[in-house]
Amino acid sequence: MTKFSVIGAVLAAVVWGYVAVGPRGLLTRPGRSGLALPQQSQNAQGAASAMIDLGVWRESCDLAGLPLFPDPNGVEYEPLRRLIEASERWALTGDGDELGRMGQIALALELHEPARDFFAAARELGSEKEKWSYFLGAECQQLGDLRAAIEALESARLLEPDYGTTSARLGALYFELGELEKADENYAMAAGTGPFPSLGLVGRGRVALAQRGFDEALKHLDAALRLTPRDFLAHRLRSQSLAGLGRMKEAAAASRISNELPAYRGWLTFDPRLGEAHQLASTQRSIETTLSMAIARGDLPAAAVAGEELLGRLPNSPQILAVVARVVANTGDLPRALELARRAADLAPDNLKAQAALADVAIGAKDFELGQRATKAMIKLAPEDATGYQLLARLYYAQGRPEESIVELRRAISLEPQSARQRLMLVDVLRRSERLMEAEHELEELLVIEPENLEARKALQALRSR
Amino acid sequence: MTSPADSVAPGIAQRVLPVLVWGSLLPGLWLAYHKATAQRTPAQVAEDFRATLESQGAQGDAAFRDITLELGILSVHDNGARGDFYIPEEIGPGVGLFDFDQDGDLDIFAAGGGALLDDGPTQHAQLWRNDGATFSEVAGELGADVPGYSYGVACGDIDGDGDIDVYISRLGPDVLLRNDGGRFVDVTTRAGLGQTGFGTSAVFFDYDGDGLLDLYVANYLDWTPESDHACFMSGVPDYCDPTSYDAAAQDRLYHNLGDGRFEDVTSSSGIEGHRGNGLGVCAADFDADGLTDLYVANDATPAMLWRNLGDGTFADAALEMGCAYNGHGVAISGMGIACEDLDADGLPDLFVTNIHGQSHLFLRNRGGHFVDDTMRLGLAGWSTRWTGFGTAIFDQDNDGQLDVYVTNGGVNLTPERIHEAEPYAEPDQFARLEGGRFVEQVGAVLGAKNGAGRALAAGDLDGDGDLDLVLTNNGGELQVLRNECSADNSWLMVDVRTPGGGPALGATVEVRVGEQVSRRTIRSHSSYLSSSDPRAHFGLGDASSVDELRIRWPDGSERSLQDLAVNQVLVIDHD
Repeated sequence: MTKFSVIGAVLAAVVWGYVAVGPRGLLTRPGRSGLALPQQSQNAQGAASAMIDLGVWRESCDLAGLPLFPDPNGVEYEPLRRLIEASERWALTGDGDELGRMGQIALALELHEPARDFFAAARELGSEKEKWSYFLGAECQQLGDLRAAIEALESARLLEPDYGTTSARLGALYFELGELEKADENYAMAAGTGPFPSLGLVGRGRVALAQRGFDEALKHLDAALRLTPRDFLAHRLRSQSLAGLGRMKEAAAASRISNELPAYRGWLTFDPRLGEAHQLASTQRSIETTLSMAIARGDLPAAAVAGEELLGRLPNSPQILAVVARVVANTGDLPRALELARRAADLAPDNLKAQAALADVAIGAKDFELGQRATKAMIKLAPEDATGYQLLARLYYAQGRPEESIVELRRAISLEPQSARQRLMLVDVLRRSERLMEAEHELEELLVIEPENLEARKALQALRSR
Repeated sequence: MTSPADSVAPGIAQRVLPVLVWGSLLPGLWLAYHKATAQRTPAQVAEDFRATLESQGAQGDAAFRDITLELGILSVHDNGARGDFYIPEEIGPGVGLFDFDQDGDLDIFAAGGGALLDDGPTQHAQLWRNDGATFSEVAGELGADVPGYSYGVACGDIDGDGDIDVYISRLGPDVLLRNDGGRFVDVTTRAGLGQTGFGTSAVFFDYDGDGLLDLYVANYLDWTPESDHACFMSGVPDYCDPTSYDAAAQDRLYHNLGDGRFEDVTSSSGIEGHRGNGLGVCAADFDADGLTDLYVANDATPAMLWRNLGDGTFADAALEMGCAYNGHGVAISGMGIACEDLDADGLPDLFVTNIHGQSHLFLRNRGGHFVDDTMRLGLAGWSTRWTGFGTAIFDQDNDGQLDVYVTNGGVNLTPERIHEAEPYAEPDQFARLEGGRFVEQVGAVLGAKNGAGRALAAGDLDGDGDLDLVLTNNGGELQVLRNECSADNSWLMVDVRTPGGGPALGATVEVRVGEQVSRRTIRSHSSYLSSSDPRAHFGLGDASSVDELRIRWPDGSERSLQDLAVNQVLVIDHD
């Protein structure tokens, strides 16, 4: 045997030895099964949650080769079902992006550790690496692993330089670590970009403030407010900067402005990707948000759709039934609204919101007997709450009994003297009853309480011009 | 000469063997390559990633055990809840931990409750005397059985006679009990105290350096039964958010005149006119100018930092010092406070507990201005789950690292808990400082029933060198949690006294072991409605001696001691 053959034989033995007894890998291909499907359990409100033997669940995670998703018992069922569907798609196709989608669902369920694990796997095994790196960084940030978050977000930014929120997150991370120079650099990269262009500038203001550079902070915050005049934090930090400069009156004014603006809702305020995760998971909370946002912008058809979807999840929740009944009533479908409101009140006769919805919808549907019954129930339930009297006033007015309506409205105002809504209703009834002097007097009183109330000013002007 | 056969065999061997050897190598290499590069499972990837991170949580060993009943203590708070959901019902009660009879061990004062509107039986305060293995209730025989609805408990030696007096803030007139050798006398009227607001946390501190303890009392709301109203956040009657009252209250500052009387200096000190929903108070020198300032945690209104200007006046510097809001600009629902120098830089940092859904707040003091380091400390995750009230930062296992305990309790119903028997009960949380982050220790408390946690006082009840906890629950039982520290670590307890022999509140204590320096302030207050063991406790790890101990009294006098033995309570009298 030649020396050459001996070398070959040794090499072959090493290679085959590695194949035979080397580290695992070859046999651990992606799982061939998805996760086990839990059963549904329903609580009193009809909300479905998952129910499964923990041993079976853990074994299915193991067999599928997936990171352990902790005890799913009690977890909202629909998002979990979607997660299991994604696991099945992953098992079938080996598409690593499905792991990322599972991470998004875990994120929406606020299960941040499993979410992070899924994103770590998706970053390596999926194709949308920039997105999963971003999510991995976001979850590490959420969990307080700041260095790991920086590493993941830096790599996300290399792959996708245009997503401004990545730089803003990096700015925030360096800020948390006290590395203010790097924080400022990253905030500067985020400035004027992304879905929330003032974010980077507010961050720069925050950095300057931490360095007690009050003038510098003001410069950035003013620039932020030019881009987003209603940026809550920009006003808040501006007030802090002005205080630092001893301009206390201006600081107080800036603080007052910020008080009137909605506070941030964490990163959800700036990060469309988090919104995407919530939409994908379709958690009850995300539908509630969709519903309240649709109500806030007056989009009743969209609100009704979201409301019905929410009812599908919580069919026995008096609160949800009450809200949806009112939305549906406003779309004009009074029979359906009445059905929902009745169900709410039947389920929870002691629930003020349920009785209020029933009264409201019944008055709208001209079922005055039912309306009266519901308002009386409300007043019995909460005699010091103005809503019952206000609804009773509406009922009387709809029945053509304006004098009694006025009495009830005055009672409501005595309970809530600061409420502009009650007074404006009273003014309306007084005006329609031709009691103009009294209407004028009510408006004058309202303007003492709320001098800037535009509606009251207009009404007073209209009255006086008559 | 070789035979033909001989000549053939080597020929075949020479030709076939290399082919076999090298031929087998190629498929082997191919398989080896595939094995090496084969896709790992997601679980493996995640596992590898996790391995690169610090641990996210720990299944902690039991750090505390509930021994309330073993000690013979049965104290159940009556919150007076009769279905009206008056907001004062959900705030208390407070607790005090101090050695009232000067026998060397800590006793427990529990604030009372009962009917809110004098329409039912009142609940008197209780004083549980530490008899060693058990406690006895002695409030009635010693004059400490203050009746009625009470909140904060502040302890301090107001008359310089060496024994500890007690101020109790209440809904209605507050009460000052003077301790005369272990018996209590109500001296409220004589002292000129007895404000009639909705008093919460109170603190004794010496703001003008005259050696006499002054008093600050936080007030929550300008509340009357008539001003209360129903709230239905979950559809059923429930307690309201304080902002719905729009009736933030005025705190009060009283100057100790030294003759048993206090003067209300709220107006002349500049504090009047600044209102908030005050719950927690901490006195410390936040700007390192040698004067004691005050931080007030307000519930959903901006926090205040009363900077002591040294001439008897104060100015609210919270906005400019960066502690009025959290880093997101939000006026948090500030409840309890732990004020310790976490990074040993000589400046007191602030830990403020908050409502569920928002994390507790950690404000790092960077020399007169604060930076929100909540996330850096790892609080963003675990601390958002419940509503935190009383809290303490201390070294539970004497390893030299500070830990944090938060007692939790709900304030509002959530729809999913409406039908529960105790819908406001929540589990407490304990976290250790590991690698610069507070890591929650799951399962750290043994045997404790979840309650609507409120006050928390820390102190060494059993004299074993570690700090135990006393907690109150709204409408529930007072709990004593014994520190189950099993580590063989060293400790030192420093009892710094005033010339009169009382605790030298405001004195600073510095311990040096090698290069390691730790600092504490002699303080009985902070947390929430509570008064704790005023002695400074240091965990010393495996140190066998203390190289240097330095004490600075509020009047500026200093003392330094070297080469001290560990595992002792050191009483340091003022020269």
